[in-house]
Amino acid sequence: MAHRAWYAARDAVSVSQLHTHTLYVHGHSPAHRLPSHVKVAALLVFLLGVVSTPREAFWAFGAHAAVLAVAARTAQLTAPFMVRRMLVEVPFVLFAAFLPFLGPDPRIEVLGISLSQEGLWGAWSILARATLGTGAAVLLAATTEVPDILTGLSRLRVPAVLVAIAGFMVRYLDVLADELGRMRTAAAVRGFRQRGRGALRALASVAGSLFIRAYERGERIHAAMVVRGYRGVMPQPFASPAVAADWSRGLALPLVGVTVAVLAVLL
Amino acid sequence: MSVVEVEGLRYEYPGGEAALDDVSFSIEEGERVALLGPNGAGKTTLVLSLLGVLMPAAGTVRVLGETMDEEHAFDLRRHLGLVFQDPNDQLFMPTVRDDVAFGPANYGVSGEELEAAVDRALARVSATHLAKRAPHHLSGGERRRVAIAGVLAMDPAALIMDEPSSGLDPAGMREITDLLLDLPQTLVLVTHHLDLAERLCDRALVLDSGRLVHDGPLVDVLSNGAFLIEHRLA
Amino acid sequence: MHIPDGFLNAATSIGTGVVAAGGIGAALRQTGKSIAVDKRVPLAGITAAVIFVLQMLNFPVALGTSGHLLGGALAAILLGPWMGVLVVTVVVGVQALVFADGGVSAIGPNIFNMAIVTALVGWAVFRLVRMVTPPTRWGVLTATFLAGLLSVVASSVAFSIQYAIGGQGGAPLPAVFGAMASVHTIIGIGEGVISAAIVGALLSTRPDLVAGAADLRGQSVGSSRGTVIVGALLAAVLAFGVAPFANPNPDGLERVAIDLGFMDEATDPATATSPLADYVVEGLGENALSIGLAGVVGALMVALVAWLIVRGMRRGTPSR
Repeated sequence: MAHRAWYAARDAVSVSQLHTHTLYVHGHSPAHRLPSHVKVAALLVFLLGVVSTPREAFWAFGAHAAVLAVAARTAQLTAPFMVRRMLVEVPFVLFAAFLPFLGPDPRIEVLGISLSQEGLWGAWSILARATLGTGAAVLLAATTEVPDILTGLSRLRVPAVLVAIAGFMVRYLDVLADELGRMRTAAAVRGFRQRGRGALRALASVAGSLFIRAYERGERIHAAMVVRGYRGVMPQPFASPAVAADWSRGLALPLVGVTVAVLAVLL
Repeated sequence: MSVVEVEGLRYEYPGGEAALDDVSFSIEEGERVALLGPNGAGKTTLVLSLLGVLMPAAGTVRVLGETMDEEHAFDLRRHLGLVFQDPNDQLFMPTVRDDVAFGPANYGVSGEELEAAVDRALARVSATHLAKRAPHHLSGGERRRVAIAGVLAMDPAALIMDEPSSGLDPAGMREITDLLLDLPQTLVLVTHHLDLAERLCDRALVLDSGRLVHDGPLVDVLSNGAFLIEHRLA
Repeated sequence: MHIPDGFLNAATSIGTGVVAAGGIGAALRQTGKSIAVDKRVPLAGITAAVIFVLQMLNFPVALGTSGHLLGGALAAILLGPWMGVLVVTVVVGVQALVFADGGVSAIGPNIFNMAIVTALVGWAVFRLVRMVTPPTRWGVLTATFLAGLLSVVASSVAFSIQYAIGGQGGAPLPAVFGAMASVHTIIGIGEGVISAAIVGALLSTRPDLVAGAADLRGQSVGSSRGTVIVGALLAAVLAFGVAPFANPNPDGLERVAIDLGFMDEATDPATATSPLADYVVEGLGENALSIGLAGVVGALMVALVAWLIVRGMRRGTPSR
């Protein structure tokens, strides 16, 4: 168990270097130019439509997928890119794949295998919605730089403290991942092998020193803020509001999704 | 008028041990002063006391003639632009432009005036093209320059540079040295690097174990081998 | 543990979201007074980044899901319970919006399970265990271990209840509960060990950074009794909430967990034989009450056993 954690930790460092790189793709498409808070709102509206669509309405999910495809095209993102970035949902795809076998009666025969009807519906429902949801979130993340997402959240009235914490967090993810990498290298050059009884202790001490280094950096950052006049309130130096045209452009597609959902419920 | 005037400064660690003991000196406008000393001599403590981040146990710090205390710390520290050793500690805003704006915005500058201050500071360090970038995507030299712009935007009377050469390759170091030679502000250079001090400064303050052991021409320090070894400067 | 879109129905997601928003609001109010004047915003951001990195240490788990450190109990012990809530809320929010990990429509349940439940239950366990252990390094570490362990189990119970109420796909509830609780008991041990290791490292070098151990330095821990009661109530609600689905005869998966000796009855997934609707009425009866009580007693027994184990370990180790 402990060993496994350490193996995971070892692998996680290479993974983390990937993961702390955000999904953003540089570009100048209309989707990139849309103000970030409009995009976040559009994402929420679209997902509202997706999760409210009855699972029996196959045509409606087709329509949602079409909306997503149009949006991705507007953002000049290719299908292979989208598919690669959506792999984060794989664990739940596997979960969904189990449902037809585990679900309750009544069961139906498919190619000689007995499958639960309810389980099949569940698998379809999770797959369809999770795929649409992940795709839409990837779309936001791929067309919006992280600082802009944070500005967008603050314009959507997310409390300033949360946005400020998020800002620090995102800023220092790379720094921490680098620090973790250096500590691992330091352990490796001294002949440390990730096996045996010392493994958990090693993982624990790496985690402990990471925390201390991070804290001490936090204190230096605080001093750096204070000397430039910080008194507890983060300034919002350059805020510019979205205009009505941005809202109508940004919400057009997701509103199609909601309309589809409403029709699917009514029909 | 002195930019900084320190008299009988004493600072104690929580245990009561003195980090700074009876330190006195003053720095006049336009001076270029190297603050030298081995690790643990108290250089960082002294700098943070000058800015009123740490409050001394005894003695006074005056900035442009005004006494630094809890009440005046906010107003006074804008006159002293401190650039940290590791720019990662200093560049905490999401973009370069936001980061340079952080200082002036805290002092109530806004709108076009703020934009102008940011543009001016970035131009001063030849970093106008970096404005929209995220700090963690910059090179070491670029980060250092942007960090300097962040304090220049507050229009300080003096610039305090903590080990500006750390983490820079020779080319990056030359860029920074040239930039610092070119700036009109009073300069306090905190460093271990005697050659860097020699290029930028003519006066030296030497701290050892919390005490000021030299205040005078830098050449006197550089030419005195025994002194350099005694205070672990070489 | 990150729930994707479509896993829960809209009503469950929104309902849990409203509860989560209330929790965040309370956390903002509780931290609002002090947040402006000290350095806790940058420290909170750094802690969030560390937790984000630690959350990448994945434990592969059955049924295609993967577990990882949640960090809520740890954040609460280091920064105080309400700041802990805010920190993990930010981690979950950024994961959903910036890394497309965890459904944006399921952000309410995700915040509730991973930020609010873990931080508040973790804090309550931490404080309660500290009341009965000596005010020493080992007392703090024992409390941290148990807080980490039980916070993860509580979080998985919260998820199980949400799945029972509004989960899609008709997975048999016994299987879901069994997998969730047994697997998360194991993950919880990892969480407890790593949390305790981090707190231990901090106590050795920078004890001032552990808010939950301020009393060791002669200062007040500075959190009200009310917060502990809120956390304990939350734990009790989860224990009773899972009871209607519970059946005293555990099946194979839970057997394993109980045999491991780290599973209490309250979080015992046990077995539900039919959907929620059939059980609500029956479930409110004597059976539910007794199982819920058994859960609370079980939790206390686990705490006692673990404390004794740690005490034993201390005897065997030269003190530092």
